[in-house]
Amino acid sequence: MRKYFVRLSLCLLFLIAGAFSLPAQTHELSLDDQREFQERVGQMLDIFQKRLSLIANKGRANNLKRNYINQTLTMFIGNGEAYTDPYGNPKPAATMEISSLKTNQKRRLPIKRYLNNLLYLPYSQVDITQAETYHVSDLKQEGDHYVATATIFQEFVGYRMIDGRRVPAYRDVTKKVITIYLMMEEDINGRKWVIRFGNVSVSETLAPAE
Amino acid sequence: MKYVKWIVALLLLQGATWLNAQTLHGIILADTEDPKIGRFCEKDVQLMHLFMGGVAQTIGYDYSDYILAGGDCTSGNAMEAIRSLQVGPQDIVFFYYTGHGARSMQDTSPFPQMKLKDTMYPLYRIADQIEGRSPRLSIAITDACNSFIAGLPSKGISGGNTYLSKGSSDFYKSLFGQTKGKMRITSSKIGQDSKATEDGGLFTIAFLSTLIEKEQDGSAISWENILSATKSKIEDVHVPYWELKIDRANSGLSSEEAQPSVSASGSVNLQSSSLDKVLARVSSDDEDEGYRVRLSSEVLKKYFASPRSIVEVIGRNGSTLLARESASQFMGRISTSFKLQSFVVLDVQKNAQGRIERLRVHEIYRK
Repeated sequence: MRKYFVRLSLCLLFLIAGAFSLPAQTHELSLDDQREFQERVGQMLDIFQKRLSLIANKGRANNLKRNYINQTLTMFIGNGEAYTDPYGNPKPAATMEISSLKTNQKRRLPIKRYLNNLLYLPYSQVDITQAETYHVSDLKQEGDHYVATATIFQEFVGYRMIDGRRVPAYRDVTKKVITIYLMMEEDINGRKWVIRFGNVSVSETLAPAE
Repeated sequence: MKYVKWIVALLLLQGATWLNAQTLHGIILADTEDPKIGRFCEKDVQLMHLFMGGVAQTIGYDYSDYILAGGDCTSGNAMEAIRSLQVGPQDIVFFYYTGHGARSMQDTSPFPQMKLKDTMYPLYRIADQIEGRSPRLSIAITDACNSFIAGLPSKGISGGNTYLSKGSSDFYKSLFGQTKGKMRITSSKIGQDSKATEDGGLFTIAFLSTLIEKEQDGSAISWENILSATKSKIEDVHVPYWELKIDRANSGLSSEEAQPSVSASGSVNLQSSSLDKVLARVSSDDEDEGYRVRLSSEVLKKYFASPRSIVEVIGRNGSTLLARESASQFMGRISTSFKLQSFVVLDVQKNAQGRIERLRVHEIYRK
């Protein structure tokens, strides 16, 4: 049975907590608006991780996965390509840091390459699962935009077929920190606040508890 | 199975309405052109619309709305809206007015008259009309003054704002889905003004904060309890008045109420009540991912004037612009999202061909 619980409490608390400004017109967000966007970040993190799981899933068609890759790239600053930062400085594409318990090393990949690599991981099956919890820091204003960090936990399991059995060949749990930008962008309808992910860093890599 | 899904999709795209769909009919009157309180009323409209839609989504009902604001806030329009409702036996009709209110020295009803564009109009007449349509649950709320004015119309009387939003499933099913009868509620008793702040009408704020508390503490849920607790919060300022004739009811809500059944009998013109269902289908985690992507493509072609049509995602406060996307971006996103349960369609602007050029929605995620 599908059970949908949509909480009213926070909604109404936000509504009656105070007056809301009109954020799309200004470079300053009220605290209530900041909370709204923080919650939106949480939704995006959830979606991001679910998409990673699907992209890595060997049981799904590659054309479907490519669609998910394209959608995931739009979550990143510059749509995953080189971009100009909020200060006007040219920047390379956002990156994903990856780590391995085997090599004890970390390396960074442009997010697009990372996502494409997920299609071709050398395992018969890959499970990427997320922890239920994540943390989004308070937004800090930096000039005309806001920055936050989000912390997520992912478990990665790569399986290989051995003697007809699916056997875990590699597992780890990583704590990842994502830079979050809340910035103004302009489109034909005017300026608007948008949330974009920046670089993703590995904070810790652990062997999962047995 | 695959074909069944596509048949369902086809029916959806033919302009679906849901067989036996239960509907929450929202009628909102707002004096948004009043120079003193119009801006509050304007916000009330957004919030009330969002709330009613959210309640409907939460209890598995379709949402059909009439928003009569500004120059449309007339008694004639209100009565025409009520007359035109297709009310089923399990339906809810939820009337809400925000604006000035008053009463004449001769009024005998405990409820105020609403200051509409064409005339002062008593709430009881609206409520009588709605109740005469025999919905399962009739709700009529005014957030307006109820003070005596010698000679109508009156001026300078504060109106109020109402904030309503989506609620937890059980709580709102209990209040809206499992009750029958009628409710008439007004923010102040005979002879009293209603107060409002920049944040909204005092009654409304108290009413909503009571809902929050009751939802959180899990105490006995009944409209009488909620209104009594609301009254205790503000009775030092003004005293709300209500008349309830409410019983428990079997609303016919099923455990799978969010699953629509489908009919091809709807008109080609897009109705918000069907659009939200179509979008929810595209965003549903229960559907195959490939199907969702294909369906999103079909919806984009069928419903939108162009892939560049504008979609705005509005926050729970009814005003924060959380995202503005092209239709193709929006459909691409929702077709690959997770926990995106449903949508409240706040506004649809269509071209001459009936296709969407601009859409404003509120997104409801599952926790």
